[in-house]
Amino acid sequence: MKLEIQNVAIDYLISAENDYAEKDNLFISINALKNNLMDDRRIVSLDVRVIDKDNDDTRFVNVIDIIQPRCKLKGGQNFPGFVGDIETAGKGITRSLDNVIVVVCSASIGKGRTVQKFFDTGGSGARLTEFSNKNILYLCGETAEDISENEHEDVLRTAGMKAAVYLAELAKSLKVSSTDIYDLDLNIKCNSDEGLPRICYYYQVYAPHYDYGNIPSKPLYGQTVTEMPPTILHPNEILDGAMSGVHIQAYYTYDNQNHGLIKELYKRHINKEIVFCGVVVGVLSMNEMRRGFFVKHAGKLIKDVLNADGAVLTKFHGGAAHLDSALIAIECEKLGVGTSLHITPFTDVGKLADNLVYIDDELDLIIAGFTYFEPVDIRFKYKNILGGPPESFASSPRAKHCNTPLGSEHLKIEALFIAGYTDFLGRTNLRAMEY
Amino acid sequence: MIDRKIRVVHYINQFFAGIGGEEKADTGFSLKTSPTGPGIILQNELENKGEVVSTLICGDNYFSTDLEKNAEKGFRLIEKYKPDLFIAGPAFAAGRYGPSCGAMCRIVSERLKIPAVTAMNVENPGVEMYSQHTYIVRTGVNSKDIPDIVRKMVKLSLALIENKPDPNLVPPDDCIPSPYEYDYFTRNLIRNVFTKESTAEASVGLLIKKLKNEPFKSDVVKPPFDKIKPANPIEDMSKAKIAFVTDGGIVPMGNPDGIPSRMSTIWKEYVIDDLLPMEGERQYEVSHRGYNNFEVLEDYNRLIPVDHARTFEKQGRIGKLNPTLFTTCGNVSIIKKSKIMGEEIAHKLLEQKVDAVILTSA
Repeated sequence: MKLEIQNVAIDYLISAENDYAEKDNLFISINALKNNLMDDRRIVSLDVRVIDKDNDDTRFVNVIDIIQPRCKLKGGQNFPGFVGDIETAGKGITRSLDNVIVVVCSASIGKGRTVQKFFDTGGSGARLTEFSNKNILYLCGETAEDISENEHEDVLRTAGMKAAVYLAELAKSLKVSSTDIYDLDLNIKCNSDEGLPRICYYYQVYAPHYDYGNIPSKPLYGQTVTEMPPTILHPNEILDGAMSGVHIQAYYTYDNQNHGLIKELYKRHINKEIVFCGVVVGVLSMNEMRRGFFVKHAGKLIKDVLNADGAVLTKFHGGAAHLDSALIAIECEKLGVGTSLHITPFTDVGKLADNLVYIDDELDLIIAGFTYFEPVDIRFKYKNILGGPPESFASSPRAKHCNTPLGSEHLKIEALFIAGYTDFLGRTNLRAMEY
Repeated sequence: MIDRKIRVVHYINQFFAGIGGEEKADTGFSLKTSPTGPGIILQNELENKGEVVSTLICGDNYFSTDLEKNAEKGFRLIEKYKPDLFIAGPAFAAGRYGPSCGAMCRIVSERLKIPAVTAMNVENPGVEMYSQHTYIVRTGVNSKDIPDIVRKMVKLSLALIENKPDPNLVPPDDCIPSPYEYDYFTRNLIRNVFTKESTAEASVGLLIKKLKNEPFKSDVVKPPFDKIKPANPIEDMSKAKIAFVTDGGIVPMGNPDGIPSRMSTIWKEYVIDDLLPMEGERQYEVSHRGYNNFEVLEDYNRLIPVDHARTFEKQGRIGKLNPTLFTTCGNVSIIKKSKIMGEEIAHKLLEQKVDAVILTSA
C-alpha cells in the first residue's frame, strides 16, 4: 500500500470575508465555515475563531481533540467512517497542512469525565507543547439536549475533522513544500531483505473500562472497538485518518496522524535497518477468558502472520493497560519475538519499577514514557481563555486538591493534563526518569 | 546564588579527624574552627569560592547509639556557624559512618534549608536510609579516591547553591541537578525529562540492539519483590471470622473522611451495616477514579460480596462476618505507603481476632 502525503507549509491562518489562499497564507471566512459545519442538526451553536501562530495570550481549556488539516486528493475518503464514507485509509495522495491545527473544545463538561486537557500559547507553559506555536482554528460548540455526553463529543470531533478537511482543500493553490512517501507491502514475499530484523508494532488502542456511562468511543473508522479481537492494520491507515482521538484523551487525532512510533519504524525501514512488517491493534479486555484469547491471538498474529522478530508495544491510558500489554509482550517473548514494552509511570515519587504490575524475567526492555502526575507549575497572564470558564478543572472535582482551576494565572497542574506535553505513542522527547 | 564566600560546615568521624580508629569510636562530639582531615582537600577544592568555617567530629559508635538524638545534638553545635552548605564524609562503605553522615545532612538541610551533601558506596546502609532526604554522591570502596569524590561533592554542592533551572525539567522542580550528570543516588523522585531523542527513537533503537544481541539498557529494571510466606490455611471455616478489605475505594456518601481518588495514603474502617445496608437508599459512593465504577454503584456486591458473606454466616458456612470493613483507594498508589497501610490494617485485624481476609480490588 502506498501513501503520498503532500505537505503544504502555511505561514499564517487569517480570518477574512472570503475563503482564499495566497502566498503561503490561508484566508478563511468564519461564517462560511460555520454554515458548512452547522449542516449537522445536532449542533446547536458553534464558536469558530482563528488564532494565529504569533498569538501568545490565549489559554485553551477542555480540549477534546486536536486535528491536523488534511484532505484526500486521490485514492480514498477524508477521515473515512467519521466524515467520509467507509474506505480503507492509507493509500493514494493526501494533502497535509503544516503549522496549522484544528483545536476542538467542549464547554459542556461531561459527567464522570476525568481528563480535560489544556494548553497555552504563551507564558511558561508554551514551551511544553508543540501546539503553542501553530496557527489554530478553534471550535467549541453546544449540541442538542437529547444527545448523550459521548455523542456530544463525537459530534464536535467530527465537526473538527470537517473543518480540517475544509482548510486542507482551501490550500489547493499553494505550493507543496515537501512530500512524504509511506510505501509498504505487508505481503511477506515482498520483504525478502535477508538479515534485517522484522519489527512490528502492537498498538493497544482502547480500554473499555473508560466507557463513560458504559458508552464506548468510536476511534477506528468511526466504529466501536470494545469487543474487537487483535486485528492487523496497515500503518498507513493510522497515519491517514482511520483513527481519531478518544474521549479519555489517551491520544488525539493529531497523535495518530503523526504517530511517533509508526514514523520511526518507517524511517528505519527506509534506511534499511529493519523490515517494518505491520501493526496489530488490540483492545484491553476486562474479562479474564477473553483477555487470554486476545493475548494468544495477538501473539499468533505477530509471530505467525507478520513473521516478526521483534515488536514494540505501547499502552493505552491507565493501570490495567500495563498488565494487558505486558501479557502480550510475555506471549511474544515466549514465541521468540523480542519486545520493547512501553509503560507510563503514574507517580512522581518512588522508583520506576514501582509502576510495574507484573514480574517476568523475559521483559528485559521496558521504556518509561512520561509520568502522569508529575506536578507542573505554569505562569501565564493570559488575555483570553477559550473552551470553557476559568472555573474549569483539568480533572474531576474530586482531584481539586491536586490542581488549581484552569483559569489560574499561576496554575498548579499535573503533566497528563497539558495537551501535547505527554504522548503515549512515542512522538515527544519526554521520558520519565528517577531523580 | 551567593555572592560572597560560601560558608561550609564539614562533618567527619573520629578516624578521619585523626583522633583514632575503632578504639576511639566512642568519642563524643567536638568542634574545630578549621578544615581537618579530608576537610583540607575540601577546602582546596573550594578554592576561593568557599571556606570551611567549622568541622564537627564525632565517634562512629557514639553517634550510632541514637541517630536522631545525636543528629539533634550535632545540629545544635553547628547552627551558630550559619553555614550556606553542609558536607559530611565521604563515608564510602563504612556502615556506621554512613548513617551518621546521612542523619546530619538530613537535619541540617531540613532545619536550615541549605544544601547538604555526603558521599557513600551503594552498599552503605546510609544510602537506603537517607538517599531520599539528602544528596549522596556515589563512591567506590577505596578511600584513596577521596580527592576525586570530594571534587564530585563540591561540583554538586555548587550546582545546588547556584540553583539554576535545567531546561530539560519543568517547574516547580526544575532546579534539581541531574543525578546522571552529578553521579548521586536518586532521591525517590520521578520526573519527566526532555531528552535528545524521542521515545520512539529510543525504543526502536534499543529493540534493534536487543535483536542483534548487542548490549542495551532498559529504562526500568524489575524490582526485587519480597517473597511472603502465606499464612496457614483455615482448618475449620465454620469457626472462622472473616473480614473484608478493599482498595476499590468504597466510602460513605459524601466521602466524609476524604479518601482521595488516587495516591491514597489513608484507609478507613466502616461498619458494614451502615455503609452497605441490605435495604433502603444507597449510603455509599466510590472515590476511586481509575475504573468505571458504574456497576459497583448499582450493586456493592460487585466490589465486596457482602450479601453472600451474610448468607454464609447465617448458614454456618463461616463462623462470623467481621462487622466492619477496611477500605482505601488503590489508584496510582505508592508502594511504600501501601505497605504501611497494609501493616496498619493487619494490626487492626489481629486486634479484632480476624482469621482470614477477603481482599478485593477493582
